[in-house]
Order: sequence, then structure tokens, then C-alpha cells
Amino acid sequence: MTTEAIHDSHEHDDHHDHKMTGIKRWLYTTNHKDIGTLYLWFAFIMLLFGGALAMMIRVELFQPGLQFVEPDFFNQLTTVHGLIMVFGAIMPAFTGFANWMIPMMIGAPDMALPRMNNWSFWILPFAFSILIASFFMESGAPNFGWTFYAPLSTTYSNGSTAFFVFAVHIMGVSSIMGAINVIVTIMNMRAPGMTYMKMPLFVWTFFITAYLLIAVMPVLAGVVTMLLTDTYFGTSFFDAAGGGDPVMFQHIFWFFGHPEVYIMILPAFGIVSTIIPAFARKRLFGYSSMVYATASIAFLSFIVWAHHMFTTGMPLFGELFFMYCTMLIAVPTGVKVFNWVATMWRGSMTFEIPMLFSIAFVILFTIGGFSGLMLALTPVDFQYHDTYFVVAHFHYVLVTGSLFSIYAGAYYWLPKWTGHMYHDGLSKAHFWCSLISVNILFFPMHFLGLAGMPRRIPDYALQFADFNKWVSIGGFAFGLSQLIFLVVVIKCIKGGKKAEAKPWDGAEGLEWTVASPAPYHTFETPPNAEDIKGQ
Amino acid sequence: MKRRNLSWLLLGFLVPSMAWADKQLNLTKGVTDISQEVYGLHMFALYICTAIGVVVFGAMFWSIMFHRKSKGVKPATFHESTKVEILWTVIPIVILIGMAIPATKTLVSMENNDNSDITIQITGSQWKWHYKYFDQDIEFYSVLSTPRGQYENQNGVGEAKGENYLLEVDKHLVIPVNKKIRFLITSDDVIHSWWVPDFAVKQDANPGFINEAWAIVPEPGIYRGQCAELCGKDHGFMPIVVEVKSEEDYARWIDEQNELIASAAAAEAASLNASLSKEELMQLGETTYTAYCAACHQPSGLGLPPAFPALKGSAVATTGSVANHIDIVFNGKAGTGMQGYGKQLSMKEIAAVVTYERNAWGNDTGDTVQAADVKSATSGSSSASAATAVEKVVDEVAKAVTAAPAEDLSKVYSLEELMTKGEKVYNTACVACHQATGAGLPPAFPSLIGSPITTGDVNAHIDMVVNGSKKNPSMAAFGAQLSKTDIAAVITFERNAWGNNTGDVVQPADIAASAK
Repeated sequence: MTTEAIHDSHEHDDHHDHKMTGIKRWLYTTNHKDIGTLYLWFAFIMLLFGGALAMMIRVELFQPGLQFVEPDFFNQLTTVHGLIMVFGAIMPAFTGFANWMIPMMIGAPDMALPRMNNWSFWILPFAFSILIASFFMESGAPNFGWTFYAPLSTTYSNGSTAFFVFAVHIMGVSSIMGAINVIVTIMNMRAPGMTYMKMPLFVWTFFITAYLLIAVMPVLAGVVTMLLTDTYFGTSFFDAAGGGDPVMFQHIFWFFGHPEVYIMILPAFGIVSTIIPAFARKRLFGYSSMVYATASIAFLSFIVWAHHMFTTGMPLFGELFFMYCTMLIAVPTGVKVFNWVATMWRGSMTFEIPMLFSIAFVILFTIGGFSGLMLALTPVDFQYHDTYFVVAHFHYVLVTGSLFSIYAGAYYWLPKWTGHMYHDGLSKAHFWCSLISVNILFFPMHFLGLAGMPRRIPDYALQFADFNKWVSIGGFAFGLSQLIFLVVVIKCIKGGKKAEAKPWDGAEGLEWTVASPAPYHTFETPPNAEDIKGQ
Repeated sequence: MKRRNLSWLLLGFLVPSMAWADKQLNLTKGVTDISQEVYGLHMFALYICTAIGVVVFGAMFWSIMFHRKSKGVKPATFHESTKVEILWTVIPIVILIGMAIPATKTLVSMENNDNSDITIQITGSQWKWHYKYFDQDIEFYSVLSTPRGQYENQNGVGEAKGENYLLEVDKHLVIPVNKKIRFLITSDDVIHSWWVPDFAVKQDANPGFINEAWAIVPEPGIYRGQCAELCGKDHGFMPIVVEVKSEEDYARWIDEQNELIASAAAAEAASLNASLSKEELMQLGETTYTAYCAACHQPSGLGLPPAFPALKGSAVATTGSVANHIDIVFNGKAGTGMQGYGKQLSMKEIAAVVTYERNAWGNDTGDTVQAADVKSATSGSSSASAATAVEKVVDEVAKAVTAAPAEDLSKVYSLEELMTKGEKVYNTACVACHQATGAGLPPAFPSLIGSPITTGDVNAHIDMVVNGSKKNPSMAAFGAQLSKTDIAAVITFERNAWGNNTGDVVQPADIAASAK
């Protein structure tokens, strides 16, 4: 088995691997590394596209008055920005990590269902083509918010509902297939000696995430189908005039939507829990409590959905129940943060880029957690709900949370993927520019929300003008900073300092026992995981 | 180097908050007791989060500074401790309980809607608010009054923006100080949300359902808010302005409104006989069009297809009949964003706007429409589509009861029997409009819960069901459709269901007596 640079996407001459050449290699591939690469590139392209939409939003909001876009187009921008970032950027990026790393972390030769793996990726570009194509149709793109509340998305929609529903169905099918693949792989293909409680935390968190996906993606499929029949086939699930209830839409949507939030953050916990011990040169503190905390968060995520709906006119008992359950999530999440800090405590730390992103993750995600705790308090939520305070909250957990963990993971495993070290100066520039600009972008949103600026508005009262200007400037800077990452990755693929099999001296795990770049096929004979330390 | 970067970053957080000390950074404290309690909770939560943050981030920064490899530190080997894990599970739970107790107290008082002095129904529609005072004849729409020239700056030009840019409306919601005002909030189309930060009131307006909220405002003044739930194109352009007046000023305001209503009615009656010139109609029509129609159909008449069709050259506004055009403007078009303006505009204004639409933008039909034409085109129907629905129900009910056997009017039923039977009748004859919950679909189909009809005088209630409403043509006469026993049962049901609990029992004989 050769260990030469075979992962390089521009070279196709390795006889041992029977790779097809050109585009066919990527279309027909059943190799988990190729599919992982496809997912990661797709996610990055979507990130840039969704980011471009956000730039347009920030251009319009730079100063009061409508300068560039019509209010209806503004709503299309916010809607598609949300959909692309959630379903097109964050989720596929984590699936990319799962494809690349889970087989290597558990000592398996590939994913259990490689052809399904190919299919689950290749339907995604079609889903997003449909969604994006609606911008160029007469109806325009979906304009009812990424949460698509009925009846704005049914009776009062602009005609884009059918495209939107079809696109979401395809995304759901893809996610479910990806999740099944992960579960089957983890349950059946662990190397001898790789017991459940020895699995790296990223494997654990994605294992639990996969169950969440299987549980809630069908709910999403159901709710969009009800939307479709309400709009085009005369049913009245969400129309009071026919005996339905528009609030029922929100209950079903958020029964999907809240676990979805954890689908986007649990894998991030896994990545950060892998990186911090590596650069603190100290084992993860409280491995088993981390596993239990992840499982409790996953369980609690099913009984808190209505905290998105405190103002819909719920009975007092409902409001109290969902407030208490939501506050309870702070406990396992707190355990995780404390464990990360305890891992750093009395370690021997160095601050390479993956560690910098991980530390930024812990601090900024925790700030997002604090605002989440404040939002959980029902009486105060009446003031925060649907303002920029909420926008600040979920961007702190999704951008400085999920996205930062994706960057941390990418820098951590880039040497393994490409066989080269990333460019030191450029990657530092990427980190510091992102860190500073992201806070100029999102921190003032807290003030805007508290002062009373509602979300999803194309124009605002004059007292919000100053902060919006800062937010826009931060937004442009953050958007541009991501292009540095593109340069870093391309340079890293093309060349750079050769990476050793294990470039980080504190790193643990089976993926570091194979060469860098990882051979096209790894662990064709299972490794012996008996002597891997119990975590 | 890295340490300096971090401290620079921390400084970055502090500097803007000092520079903008005159701007609002924190939550609105508000004027009501509730809003101040909410503010207190917010500060309490913020302090707790800050304290936790200082401890956790402090420990982290400490180890970042001192436990680094460059200082030659050898890593420790500890990696678990059940004691510590239990400790940092229990401490947060205790803190959370400390936060949950005051939050629960505030929430319970926020949700206590009892003993209100004044009830106001708030109805959201795309993109304005409608206020209706219970126990008064006062109702009106409240629309953004910022001139379009101030916010439509696409051509790089714009008028100077006023002080209350986007937060000003033509008619304020007026309420008195120190009275418990109950707001009943609903919607005509999509979901809106009525939010006034100074009262800490934010309630969604759901179509077909009614939500409750309340406020006691201790200080006169003007309080501004906005719609808080995405409701389509002009979600950002439907503000809320509440004017709180002293009791005397409020009473004076009520009198003024009643006078205005009387004079408007007189003007409406006069307009039916008056005939306006085409120039007058066009002028009034353009003003009305700009205020009510231009947001969707655009000042150019080109609309925003496909949701908002063009009027320029359209069939409705050119070749179609005038009566159909009036009908669409007056009653709206079901299943689309086109709402009915019959209640918002006077007949004269509708006549003017129809004239305008049929002659502007090169439509040039030459038609002129007078208020009397509007009256004759729409006579007898406040809502054509609603009336059709009612007729259908009445037909079905008529079919169902023709086969009914002759009834024994002297029979006396128990409350239980009447309730069971009444519920069945209600579910066939009344439920389509008044809904299974009794909450109706206001404003066309009023709520029966606690309504003056279902809880007031029994004879008025019988009269309403037997003979229909004199004011609201949607309420049909059921005297010929239902048997007297059925009517007795359904009235008993309505007076005792949904918490109406009047205890009244109405027998078939009572119906027969009232018919004489």
C-alpha cells in the first residue's frame, strides 16, 4: 500500500487504488475520503454563497432608508441566507468531517454503506440548485423566513413554496441517509478493542447527532408536506377557517427545529473536545461525563421546542414547563465548558491555529450560551423575542460556535488530508481577522435587540443607525476574512511544508497512525485498538 | 504577543460602550410595574451570567497565561473526578432554581388577565393595525404615517428623515392611565405580533385565534412599538403608537371620537346624493390610492407580480365591469393578499379610488364612479364571500331539518339533554363561522365567549338566532331552518359552553312564545 501523495485531487495516476480519472472519480466515488472532501468543498461554496447574501443584507442595513433592495427581495435574502447556512454550510461540513474522520478514528476501512454515501452527497447540489434557481424565477425566492411560518408560506406566499418544499425534501433525504450510514458504521465497523467508551468524542457526538437526525428529519419532511398540501391541494392543516391552526405549524416545525440546533452544535463539541487535549498535552477531563452530558443534551432537546413560541399565546403551564426544561439544558452544557477548562488547567499549552479557534469557540460559544439562558426566562423573552438580541444569540452559537469549530477541525486535520502544513502567516491572519471582525459584527446586535430593533426588517428607526453601521462594517470584514481561508486551503493542497504522520505532538487517535496524507485506502486490515488508552 | 492581542480585544468591547453612553445599550425599563419587574429579571440574569463568565473565563485565562509549554510547564495527569463533576452539576442547578423562582412569579402575574377595566380588540393585517374599543362604537385603522419619500431612497434621493422615522402612525391607540386595559389580539391574514417595549407586552396575532395581554400604564405619554413577527413585505413598516391620557382627557377623546363618527356617517349619507366631478374624484382617488394601495400595487400601478398584480392595463381596472372592480376593492379577493377595504374607506373614497384606477396610467376608460354606485354595487352585504358561506351552511341545515318529525313544544328537557343536543346543532349550523371554540373569526364572525348576546338578555339571544342580525348580514336567520327544539338547545348550549356558565335553560316553549 503506497503512502505517497495520493489524495491530491489533481493527480490520478496511482495504480493501486483503481481511481477513475477526471470528473468520473468524483461522480462515481464510493471512497469515504473523496466523499468527505466533496462535502467539505460543497459546504465551503455554500458558506461563501450564503455569506454573499448576508453581505447584501448588511449593505441595505448600512444606513436607514431603503437604498438598494425592495423589502420583498430583502425577505428573500434573509430567508435563503438562513436556509443555505443551516442546511448547506454547517450540516454538510460536519457530515464531511464524519465521512473523513469516523472510519479513520474507529479503524474501519470505509463507511458501511459506500454507495448510499455517494448518493447522499450527490443529491445535495440538486437541492440547492432548485432553491437558488428560484431567485431567477418570476415568483422570486422563498420570502417567508427560514422558519417558513404558515400562513405566510401558504396562502400568502409568493409562489415559491413548491420549489422550497421539494428542495427541503431532498436535503432531508440526504441527511437521513448520511445519519444511517454513520450509525451503521459505528455500530458494526469498530476495530477490535475499540469499545464504545474508547471512541474519540467526535465519534460519540456524531453518533448521537445521527440519532437526532433520524428522529427529526422526517418531522421536517412531514411539516413541509402539510405546507405543500395547504398551499396547492386545499387542505387546512394550518388554516383556522378550515379547522386548522397556524400555531400547530410552529409546534411541528420547532419539534424538528430545536433538535436541529443541537445537530449543528454536538459535532462541534466533539471536535473541540478532540483538539483541546491535543494542545494542552493532557487527557480530556471527564471523558465519560462528556458522553453523558452529550446524551442528556440530546434528550432535553426534544422537550424544549416551545421556548421559540412563548409569545404565541401558550397557557401558563406550558410556558412554565418549557422555561424550566430549557434552563435545565444549561446544566450539561455547563459541565462541558467546565471540563474543557479543567482540561486546559495545569496542561502544557501551545497555541497553534486549531487551538486558537478552539479557545475562541469556548469563550464565544459560552457567551451565546449565556444569552440563551437569558432567553429561556419566559417573562424576559417577551422583550427579547424576535429582536436582534435573538439574532446575536444564535449567530454566537452558530458562527463563533459551529463555524469556528469547523475551522478548528479543518486546520487540525488539513495536514492529514493534504500531506502539507498550512501556511503559518496566512492562517494566523485568518484567525485574528475573523475573531475581531466577528465580534464587531455580532456583539453590537445585543445592544440593538435590547434597545428594541425587531429582526427581519429592511429599514429601521434612527436610534439604531450607529450600531447598524458597525455591524455592517464587521460583516464585510468577516466575509472578506473567509477568503483568506480559501487561499490557505488551496496553498495547502498545492504544496507547503511536508506534514509528518502525527504533526501535533499531543494528538491521540488512530488517524495519526497512518501516513500524511492519509492513503486512499486505510485500515484494510483492522488495527489493534486494544492498546489505545481508555479515554 | 498573543496576550496583547487578547487584551486589545477586551478593550475593543469596552470602548464602544463608553463612546455610545448616550445611546440605549440596555433593555427598555418601561413604565409599567410588569415591565420594571421584567427589567429587574433581565439585570439579575445578566449579573449572574457575568459572574459565571468572570470565574470560568478567569480560570481559563489563568491557565492560558501560566500553564503554557513555553514556560516549561510539565502537564499534570489528572483527568477525572466524580466529586468535581457532581459539584459543577449541583451548583448550576441551585443557581438556576434561584433564577426560576422570580421568573415564575413575574410570569404568573403577566398571565393574569382578570378584572380588566377596558377591553380593546387589536387586529393585525398586512400591514396595519386595527383597534376596536369594546362597549364603544369606536374602531379605526392605524397606519404608518412616515412619508414614502423619507424611506424610499433607491434613487439616491430622499427627504430628510423625521424624528420618529418609521415609528409614527396616523391614528394613535388612546388609553387612559391607571386602568387595567385588556388587549384581545388577533389577525385578519398572516401572523403579526403586537409589541410595545415600554409595557413589556408582546403577543402574537394569530389568524382565527384570539390572544390576551394586559397593561396598567401609570404615566401619560406616547409609547412606540413595532410588529415583531415577519408578516410579509412591509413587516418593517407597521409601527404601533399608544397614547396614554389622563382620565379626563380620555373621556374628552371618547366624546370627540363619537362626534367624528356621527359626522362621518352624515358625510357618508350626504355623499350618496352628491355627485363629484371627475377631477375631484381623480384627486381624492390618487390620495387614497397612495395611502392604501400603493404599498402593493405601487405608485406606478405596475404592482409587484406575481403576488401583487399590475393594475395598469389589467382586466379588472379596464375592460372588466365597474361592479366587479368595486366588489374586489370593497370585499377583497379570497385566497390572495387583497383585503377588503369596505370597512376602512368611506364609499366616497372607494368611488374615488376605483375612478382613479380606471383612468390613471393610461387605463383611460373614462368611467366615473360615484359613492351611490358603490352603495348599490355592494348593498346588503358587508362581505360577499362570508355571506355566500353562510347561505351554503343555511342550505345544508335546511336540507338536514326538512325531514325532522313534528315536534312536541310542550316537552321540558333537562340541562344535560339540551346541552348534548345543542352541541350537535351548533356543530352543524354554527361552527363554520363561530368556530368550535366559540371564539369566532372576528371581525366578521364575532366570538360567543362572554359576548353580550350569549351572556346578556335571553330574549335578545333568541331573537338573534331566530331572526338574524340587523347590523351584520353574515348572521343569518335560523328560525325557518331549525326546529324550535333545536334552537332552544343551541341557545342553551351557547349560554353555558366555553365558560359562559349563565345557567340559563331555554325550552322549546320559550322559542314558540318569543315568535308570537
